[in-house]
Amino acid sequence: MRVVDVAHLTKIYGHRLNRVTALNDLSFHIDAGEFVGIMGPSGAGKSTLLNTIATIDTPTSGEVIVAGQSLSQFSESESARYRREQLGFIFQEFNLIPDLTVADNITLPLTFVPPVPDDLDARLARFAHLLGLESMLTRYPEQLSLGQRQRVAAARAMISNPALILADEPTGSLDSMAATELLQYLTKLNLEEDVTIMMVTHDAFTASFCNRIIFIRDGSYFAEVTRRGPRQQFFDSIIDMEATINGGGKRRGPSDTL
Amino acid sequence: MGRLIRSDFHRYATINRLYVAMAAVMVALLYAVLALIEDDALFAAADRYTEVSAAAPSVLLVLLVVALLFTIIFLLYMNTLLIERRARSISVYRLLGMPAGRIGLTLFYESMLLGAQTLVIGFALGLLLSKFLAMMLLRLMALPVTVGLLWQPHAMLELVAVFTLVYAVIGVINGIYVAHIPIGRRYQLPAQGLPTRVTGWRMVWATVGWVLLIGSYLGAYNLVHLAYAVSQSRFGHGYMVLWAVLAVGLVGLYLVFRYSLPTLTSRLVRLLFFRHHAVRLLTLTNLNERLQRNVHSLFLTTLLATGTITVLGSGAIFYQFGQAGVNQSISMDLVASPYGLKTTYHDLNPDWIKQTVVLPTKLAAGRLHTQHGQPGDGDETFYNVIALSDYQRIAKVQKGLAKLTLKPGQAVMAVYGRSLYQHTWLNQRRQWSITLPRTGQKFQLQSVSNQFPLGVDGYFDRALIVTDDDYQVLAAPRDPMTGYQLKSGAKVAAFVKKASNTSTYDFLSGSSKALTGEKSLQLSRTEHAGSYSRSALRLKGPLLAQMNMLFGLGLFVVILLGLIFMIATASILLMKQLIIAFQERQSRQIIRALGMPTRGMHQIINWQTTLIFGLPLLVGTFNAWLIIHFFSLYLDNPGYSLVVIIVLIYALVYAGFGALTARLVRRS
Repeated sequence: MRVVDVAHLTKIYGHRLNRVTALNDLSFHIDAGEFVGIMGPSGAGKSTLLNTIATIDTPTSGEVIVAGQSLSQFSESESARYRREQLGFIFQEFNLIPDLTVADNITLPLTFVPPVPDDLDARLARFAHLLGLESMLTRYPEQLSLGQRQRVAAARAMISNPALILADEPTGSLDSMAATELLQYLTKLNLEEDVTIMMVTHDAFTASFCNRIIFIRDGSYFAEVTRRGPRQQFFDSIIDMEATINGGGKRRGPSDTL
Repeated sequence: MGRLIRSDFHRYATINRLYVAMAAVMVALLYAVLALIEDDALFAAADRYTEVSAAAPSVLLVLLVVALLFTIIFLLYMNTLLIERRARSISVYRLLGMPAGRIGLTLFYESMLLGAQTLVIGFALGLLLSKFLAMMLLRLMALPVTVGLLWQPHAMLELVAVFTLVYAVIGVINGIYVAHIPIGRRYQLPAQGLPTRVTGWRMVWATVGWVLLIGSYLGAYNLVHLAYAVSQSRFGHGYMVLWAVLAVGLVGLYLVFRYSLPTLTSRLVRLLFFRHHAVRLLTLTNLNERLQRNVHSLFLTTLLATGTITVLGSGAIFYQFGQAGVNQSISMDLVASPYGLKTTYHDLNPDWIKQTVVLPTKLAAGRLHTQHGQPGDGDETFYNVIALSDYQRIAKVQKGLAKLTLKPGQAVMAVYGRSLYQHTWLNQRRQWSITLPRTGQKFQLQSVSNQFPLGVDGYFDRALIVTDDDYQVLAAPRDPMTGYQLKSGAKVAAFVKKASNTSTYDFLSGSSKALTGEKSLQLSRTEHAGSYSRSALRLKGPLLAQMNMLFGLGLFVVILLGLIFMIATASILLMKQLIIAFQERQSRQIIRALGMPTRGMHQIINWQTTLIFGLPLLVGTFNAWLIIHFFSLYLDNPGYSLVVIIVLIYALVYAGFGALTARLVRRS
């Protein structure tokens, strides 16, 4: 089942003589249960793509379909509902609310609009268990390590059982140990809960935890790499592709696999 | 440098506009008052009507000085808020190598430019406001003088000089501040810290806070009786209670803000009612954070709100007292005793009289019996005893006289300044009675009033209303009063003016024998030691004019002061809210990204603003009400209608500032 379908997506900022094309006729798709990484050099349009899928930004042309819904027709309240019910967010800076306990931070998106689901406590217990947060539920974000905070953010993203999790450089603020731990948790969620994850990153090691990497350059689809073997091998191929993309190599077809 | 100033003006356009608008309103008020003071022609015209108006320029000058000092402090405080907000960008400029002197000079020029804008807008507004303020003053003082826009170049020049200096000082302060901003490292906003844990000690302080505050409120509500009880005991003087209640109230209020409210919100936040509703949860956690981070600012704003409402309410109640006091003193245009009537009757043309009312009374000494130790127990004084039917007859023409029903042996006592005799839960009135020792009659006291038929000025001390039968059997000297309602006209006015210049008095011997009934009472025209006296001829017109002048001027002063205080309070809250909203922008972006609907976002902002504006207003109103209630008791309950109107207007304008804040935060 197709969860994300991006078709001929174009985003142009500015007007008249001062135009910047952030996304240029970009097309790709993500199937249910995939763990997809989006990579590309700075200014490639990764964040614009993420914001467009999150309905924080609107495209100039083209279409994005998530879980069978076309995002272009959404009103303000429909966008909010879509973000609340279909998406889960993991940000680089965690973006937890410092005044709320871990438990309240995790359940926050479910309390935005009544009614609150009956199984709220059960869901909280389940994701706290999955992400190893049971002993921290009454603490505040500032009392946690950075890795723990990002796990809280992951639990918050999962609590509404979204169709898609958007992760924006989730390991960007973490040291390598915490990053590895988080990525293992994300992989676990992907495998055990069958969650679809789309992760934007510039780090090859982080990307090597994905199943498939889509490379974009200058706002356009450049290439993609799919994991077929051990992670080390996948990592090497990501490095190769990064070298190609940074070295000005030519665009490859979507069939490049390892 | 010009480009930097332009970009700064562009970046901080909203805040700068608000800053200029608020300061301009204050300058406008200052100009209007100064122009009023300098308008000699206006006060010369007013002097024709009464001498009291001669004091008006001096009173207004004091008001001007207070308002000017307050405005300067307000501008300095606002500048501190504004410059702190720019510290981050200034530190970046310095990091990039811009000399501190150059940044300082830029800030100085910006300050002068803002000052120039403020003065131009302020003077334009002040010119329009001057007519309105002058009309308000004349109306409140009941002076039939007309006035136009007050164009006073001198006043403008004086204010230009003062404010140029003020804005230059602000510019210099900003320049100095630049040199102290950390350079070479990233400027950090103050760390937020963890929400405070509810420890045992915090609970103790929280409880102490509630106890002290509620205790002080109860004390303030019963201040008169509490002060009396203390003054009768060995513990001290009555005025000590006033200071004690004030001190305990202040400490209690601070502890409530510092400990009790954060403890309460920390407890509430655990309830599912809040936890399962993001709008409620985020509103409450935000309030909790404000109480932790901005407790002093909230406490001071509450005190400022208390002060403002007290000033406005007190002005209103004193004005009302002035109006009600005249009616309470003299209820008709002319009230005279037989002697007073004799001195003036030949000047009074019967054609000028619209209505005549005669009130027969009898003079008797009486002794009050209350519970042992309560105020008034054993009081001996003189009473004008009135028959119920005469009282009811006067009640038909005199507003404010309550309808009475009495049984034989019952009486109603009228006393001026009845605060100590009022029935309260601390001072319960049970089985009070009055005996008239000369005749041996005893009356159960049904109630205590402060309204006298024909006005209190006609009485030596108190009045006693009894049934007609009890009145008939009372053997005592007669002391009738006559009241006249006069027609208007120049001749009547001349008569009133002439009559008001005569001073005739009736005297009554206050010897102990007279008070205990051993000696009969006799009116005389000469004063002896210990005599009770009253004016034999009382005129309402001159008294009313004096009261209007005095309390009208007073009300004008407090309305202006209240307006300036209110603008300052609301502006501080508004600016603080905007600055905090700027700091909390990221939190709002997170919540929005997580799917909070726009309506929910607006609800959170509206609730947060309502609480931050509402808390000082609510607490301030309650505090002020207690103080005004105290004044009201001392002023014999002149009524709250004008107080309520003025406080409502204040609350409405204040709420307007709140709504503007919420709108600006939503837009930010």
